[in-house]
Amino acid sequence: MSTRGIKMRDLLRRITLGVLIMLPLIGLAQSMERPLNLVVEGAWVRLLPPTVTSTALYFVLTNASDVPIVLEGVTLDWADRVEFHETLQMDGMMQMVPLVDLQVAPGETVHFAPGGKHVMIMAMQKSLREGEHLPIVLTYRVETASGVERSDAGQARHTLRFMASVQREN
Amino acid sequence: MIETVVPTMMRKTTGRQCPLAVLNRYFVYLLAFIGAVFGAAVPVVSAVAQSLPVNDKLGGAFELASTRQGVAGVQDFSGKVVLLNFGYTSCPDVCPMVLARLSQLHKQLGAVASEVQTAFVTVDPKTDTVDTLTSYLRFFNEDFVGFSGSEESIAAVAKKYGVIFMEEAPTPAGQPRFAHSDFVYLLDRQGRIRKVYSTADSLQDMQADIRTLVNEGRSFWSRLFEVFQ
Repeated sequence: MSTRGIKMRDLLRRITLGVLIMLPLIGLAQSMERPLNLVVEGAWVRLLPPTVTSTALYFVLTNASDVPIVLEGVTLDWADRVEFHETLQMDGMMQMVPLVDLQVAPGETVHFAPGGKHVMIMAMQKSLREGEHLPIVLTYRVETASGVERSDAGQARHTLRFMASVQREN
Repeated sequence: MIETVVPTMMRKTTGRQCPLAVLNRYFVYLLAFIGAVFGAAVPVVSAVAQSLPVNDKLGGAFELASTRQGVAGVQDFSGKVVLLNFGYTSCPDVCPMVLARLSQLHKQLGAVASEVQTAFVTVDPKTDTVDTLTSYLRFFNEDFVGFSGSEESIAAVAKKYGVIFMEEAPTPAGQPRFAHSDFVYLLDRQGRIRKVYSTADSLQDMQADIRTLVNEGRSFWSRLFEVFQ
């Protein structure tokens, strides 16, 4: 009777321990699978003369989820190089500084706008047409409580797809 | 009631005996009104001119290749008010933004636009030939004029206007990249710098300054007319 009671208690303890270990893993797996609530508004690419092979992409991004994210990059099938930049005034000159690992906190809105943060698109493979809509793929990673997710693990990198219209600035 | 009315009528009849006195009184009112109008208008007309002091430290004529025949510098814009800006055509963010603003400003000026000339000097003459500038600027406005030249002559003009620029490492895609000041210079009809704008300045303020300089050559009367328009 007493030995059976010990066995039962031991079993219960093991189950509890197992559940405790599994819970955060299940939670992590869920957060990785479920698309985060990120809202992109007013995305546009600046129309420039065809002689110019670089341009910029602008949008307003809101992280409506409850976890912080880190923007990693933008990939386009119509341009070779894409980088996050910020135009800053330094030493009396306007300079473009690469933005590396831009973090967007839960509830935060980041404005990518002319003269400030922008996605610089270099070596475009096509000439832009006014009014056309182009597919944009934004990659980001999620910051967890235990630290930054390993983005080089492949499956941990998240993507957000949206369309941007080609516009003249005015 | 009747008794009070009668004396006033009597007073009127006495007034008729001297019609000039009545005229005199209205004439005084008229003079007072004109005086008040002028009193209000004169400071408005003169104060605006004082807000745009001549900068005699920077600026001046120059000789560069341009996208318009017969034009080598700001001195060749036949007495127009000039908006001058420096940049380069491979610039993806700031330069197109400034040029788009200048294009918008040009549209907002309406009839006054014919008295204003917008010009762009490249800081990257190796890439920006006159042909490149022609097609680039036409995209923003048919009327914009571009300047290019040797690297030395561009550096000399930039120095004259207090423009600082610096070639940086090219982009990963091999495109030229420059750090540069992005000011817009407002020149009066004599080519003197009267104001320097950053992108933070509103187009409305710029428009008001331009109108002031356009009107500078005009008579007091046409400027006064403009104030009351």
